[in-house]
Amino acid sequence: MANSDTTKGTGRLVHLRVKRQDSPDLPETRRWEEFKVPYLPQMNIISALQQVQKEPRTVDGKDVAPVVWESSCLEEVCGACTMVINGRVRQACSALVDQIAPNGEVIQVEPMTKFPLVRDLIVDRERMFQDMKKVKAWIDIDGTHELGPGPRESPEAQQERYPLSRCMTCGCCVEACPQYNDSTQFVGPFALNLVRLFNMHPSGALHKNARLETVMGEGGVQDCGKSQNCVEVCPKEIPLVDSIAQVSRDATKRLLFGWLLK
Amino acid sequence: MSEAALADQSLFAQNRRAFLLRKLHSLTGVAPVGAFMVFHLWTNAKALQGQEPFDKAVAEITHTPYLAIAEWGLILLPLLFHAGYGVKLALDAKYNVSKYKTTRNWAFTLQRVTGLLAFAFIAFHLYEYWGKKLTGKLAPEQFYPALCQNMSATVKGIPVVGLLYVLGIAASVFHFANGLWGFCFSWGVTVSRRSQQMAAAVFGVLGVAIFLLGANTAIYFATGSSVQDMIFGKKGGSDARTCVDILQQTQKPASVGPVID
Repeated sequence: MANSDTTKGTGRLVHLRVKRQDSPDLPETRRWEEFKVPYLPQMNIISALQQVQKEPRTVDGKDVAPVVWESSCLEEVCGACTMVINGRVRQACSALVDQIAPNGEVIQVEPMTKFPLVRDLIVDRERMFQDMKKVKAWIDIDGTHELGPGPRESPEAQQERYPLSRCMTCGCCVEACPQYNDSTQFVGPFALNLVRLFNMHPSGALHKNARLETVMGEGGVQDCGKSQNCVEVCPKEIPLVDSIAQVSRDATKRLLFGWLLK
Repeated sequence: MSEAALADQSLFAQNRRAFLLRKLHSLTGVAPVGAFMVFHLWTNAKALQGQEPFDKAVAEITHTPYLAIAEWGLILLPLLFHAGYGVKLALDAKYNVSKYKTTRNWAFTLQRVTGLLAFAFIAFHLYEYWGKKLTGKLAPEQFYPALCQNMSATVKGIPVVGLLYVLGIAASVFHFANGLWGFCFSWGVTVSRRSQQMAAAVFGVLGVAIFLLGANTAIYFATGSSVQDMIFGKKGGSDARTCVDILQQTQKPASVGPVID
């Protein structure tokens, strides 16, 4: 970056186009608003939105309510600031202005479309939590008595499992998944990945079949349409397609042989 | 966790309904529906040798024992289920290929589009031949001349029905080849990304081959010569009646719709 850009008042502006809505029950307030805010060095979409918040005035000179959004960690590990930026779902904190609009292009910012809208860029990702509950994405330890040390895990298995555990439930995979919508009860790629993760865990494996049964129910692994968008958009580079394929194989095995080998 | 209740599922447990239907949809697509399509296109290719070999093949099928049971049980009912449930699946998806333009997302979208096209095409095709055979309007021996007449009929110089058949076959074969890839994924045959890429290559080649097999027959009926005739020139010497002979015999110009003697 040229030095002149790094000082304030150079006149360089960041042009945002934000999709807004005042509340869930007011779809008639859905609108696009454009803002131009002063450029700051290392700016990301969050800091651009903070500039809007400081002086919420559209390019037409209209004073409006500040744009609201969710964010927390600002280092792409919490997933809270996930939104659709220039048509692609990602975290706003890691969406750097210098990379997505190096020449002052308009940056389009929208809320995710697969969840109920709360306001502006905030959505309610409750469904993902329900999906995790549905597939029993946990390890049963009730804590009422001493169980002793768990089974040992090999470094190889640990190496395989670690990437799967990086999921932050941000919602990118389900936003890009054509099968995750109001017409289906699909639990989504992230939940199927969690089934694989917990089924590989030495203690979690004790409930492998119960977890498999959940993904052989309504909205289970069969609802995957194989568009493989999930793995393309996952910010944590989780091998989601491998996980879905593995869970598919386990489900097939259970379908074909589960009832025979009892 | 109600471990016992969930782990002791029988094969047809109530909560597995959606899973079983989807598996049945996937299975019926490969066999019998897909397998029948390949067999059908192979049998049709006998038309390239003229009417007699074609009629012989048709007669052989017509005189298959338990034909009605085979037609309904092994072809029509599985096809109807596959098509009906497939329409539901096509309507359930929320397409986004304009935003996420990856090869697999295109394949996902095209799988549903070609499914609907194939459904419409097969319905039209069944009405034209199987339906008319069933109602006695078209005898099996009349298939060959009817096909020649129907598919070579032109509107402003374009063999519309012939073209429709080539497109219908293209949609059906893409749906079948990509469906085989999907079958291997969803049944857990190809788990690694590498095996999925290899499956895509294999089924891609297979799809092109099946398409050429099917389209060649349609081109033959529409133009009177197959692709190999066009490239290498027609081989004489066969006594069998061909489309060219049939079209020359009929005085009136070819019209749309099969001509019933």
